[in-house]
Amino acid sequence: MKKIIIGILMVACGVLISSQSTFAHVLVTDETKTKGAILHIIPDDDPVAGEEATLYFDTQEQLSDAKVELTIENAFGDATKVETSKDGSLVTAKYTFPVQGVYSVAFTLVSDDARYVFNQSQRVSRGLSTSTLTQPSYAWAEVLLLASGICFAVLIIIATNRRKDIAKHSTF
Amino acid sequence: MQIMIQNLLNNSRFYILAASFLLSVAVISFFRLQIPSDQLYFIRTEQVFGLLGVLFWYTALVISPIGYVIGKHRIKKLEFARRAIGVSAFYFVLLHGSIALWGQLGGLSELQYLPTLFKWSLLGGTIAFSILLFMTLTSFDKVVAFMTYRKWKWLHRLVYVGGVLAVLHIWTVGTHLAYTNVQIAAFVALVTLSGLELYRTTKLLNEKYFHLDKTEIVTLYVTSWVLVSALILLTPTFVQNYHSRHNDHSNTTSGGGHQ
Repeated sequence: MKKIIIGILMVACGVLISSQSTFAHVLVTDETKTKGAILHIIPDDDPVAGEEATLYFDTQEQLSDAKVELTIENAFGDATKVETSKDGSLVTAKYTFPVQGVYSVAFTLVSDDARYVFNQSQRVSRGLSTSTLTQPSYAWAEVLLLASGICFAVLIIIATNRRKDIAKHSTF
Repeated sequence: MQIMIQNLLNNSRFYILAASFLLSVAVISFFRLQIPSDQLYFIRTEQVFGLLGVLFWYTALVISPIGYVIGKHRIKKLEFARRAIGVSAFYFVLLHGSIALWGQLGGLSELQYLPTLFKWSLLGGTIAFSILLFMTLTSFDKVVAFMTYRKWKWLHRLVYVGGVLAVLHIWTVGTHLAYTNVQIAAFVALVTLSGLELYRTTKLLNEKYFHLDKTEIVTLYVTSWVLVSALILLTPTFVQNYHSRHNDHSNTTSGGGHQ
């Protein structure tokens, strides 16, 4: 019976983990800290250089009379104005990040009486690259991953050796 | 001291709790090595801990009704381990919430900028988390002995209220639930759990109050299961999923702007 339960749980995990892509939400606040927008990028909030990405800005208010601008700037200061489309409170844009790198995404919302600028730094670390993007080093993560793996192996060995005692004591 | 260590090493709950902690350390360090972007790192770890929290919570919930259906003696070791599984669920949900709040959002002050649906969803998630915290704090043997098992058991039924709130929280802002295969898996899991719980509830109620014959009780059970399943199926009609909106939009928008 235990095997059946564990099997069912593993199948459920597999189905959940096997989903191809995921949405997520990144909260971006404007420069004056007055408004918040939710940014989504497809695919996976992790765009691939050389492949078209879709950017969604949920501004949380109707944009029928507002003017919307989207500018994407690379690390060398070259800025590209990106065409956008509006649907209620949602602004959609399609953009192909040319190469890997860190880009500044500036989303500007202009209404009759106010102007709001939302800035977000977007790292593109997949796809085409002209030079190797500096990879931050995380020595602590390497140590922790190794240590947790060793501890897990030790835990399994102890549990296996004591399986009869565990079975005897771990019951009501 | 030596006896204490011996007892600990002979207790299956210790291994579940230790494995959960090691798993969390492995997830945190593995994703840090794999994902250079801080923003994406917080998103992925928050998602994985949320998923682990749900899986452990579901396992803790489903053990008891399974035991009732097939006989408690058959899964008595799992029944014993259940408390540690529940505490692990709390631990993963705590990590999920902490990363979402301080990593992904940037602190409590940023909550004001979120859309209304997010705020309601987070409120539901916070209440569910508080219930899980309360369950964890009262999970010690001494507390059970102090309260008496009967009262403790009644108190711990709050976990089902927390479960419903967690489902609503996941449905409204959960990222993976925008996809059909995950929706089907979640639906099957919830219908199974409700079927098992209703079996236990209707049988107990019948023994205590209704005293119906076999045909009547089967009819009552099947009807209530179909109704609950329909209610689960209709959740998307009554409660909006934030991400479905963008999914629908990406499917219908064919010619957006280009660079």
